[in-house]
Amino acid sequence: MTKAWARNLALLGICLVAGAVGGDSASRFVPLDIYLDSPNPVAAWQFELKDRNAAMKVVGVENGDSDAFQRAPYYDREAVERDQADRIVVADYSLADESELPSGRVRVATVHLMLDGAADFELKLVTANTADGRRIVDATVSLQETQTRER
Amino acid sequence: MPDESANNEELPAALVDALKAGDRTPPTITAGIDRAVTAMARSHFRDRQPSWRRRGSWAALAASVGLIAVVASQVGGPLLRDRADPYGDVDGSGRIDIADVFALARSEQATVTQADLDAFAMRVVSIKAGATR
Repeated sequence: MTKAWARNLALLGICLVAGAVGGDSASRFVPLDIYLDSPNPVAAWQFELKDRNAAMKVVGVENGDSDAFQRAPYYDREAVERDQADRIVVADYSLADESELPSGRVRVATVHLMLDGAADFELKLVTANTADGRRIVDATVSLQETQTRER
Repeated sequence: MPDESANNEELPAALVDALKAGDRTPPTITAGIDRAVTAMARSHFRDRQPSWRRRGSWAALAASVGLIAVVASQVGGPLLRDRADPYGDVDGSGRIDIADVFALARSEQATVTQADLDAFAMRVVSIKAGATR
């Protein structure tokens, strides 16, 4: 999936959700940027996001900033389409040359959420791996709630 | 005269449905399923005589429809499940995650297609299948 198509999908999600929000002031649409921080170039990553308050519903997932991960990441799209994604597992890998892989702090995905109340997010890095498959034990994952983002 | 539709932010239902349909995840036919279907078809037609078309075309048609029905009902089922299922703990880490998909992709096995890798990755992230909790 191309970056443009992924962006269009996200915009569609925003449009659909905007209509829903209009009728319920308690619900709000939240894009959540997910950042991976790794001392080594990352070739594969996987995280899980859930909400301890069960207030979130995932409405879409967008790819991150790295050119090595241009397509939309893997996630359970059927669960999202059925409005059953009260948690989400997102992952991707890249066979790009190690010199092209991202390191440091990089946005790997944006999860678009519908929140019905206050959320208490739990974000867990399942794995991050180098180009030769080694696990990066010092890698961490963090999230940042955003409203607008320059692309 | 003001355009009444200018402030209407709701998309037409037909457009929403069309966009959703266009983004639907395509069915994944892995190499394993492809091989299994081929093997079933070969097995089914192996004993056929050349004269079958003349003698029992309706029977042959019914048999073909039956075969297709069996194949369709077994997609993802046990009959078509690849005996050498690659969807496992490839890297020996003790659990199944995207690192296993990556390890399989790196292995450059001739029998593994992109569809196989995509199917494996979708299984890894599947909420229903009980991905990492």
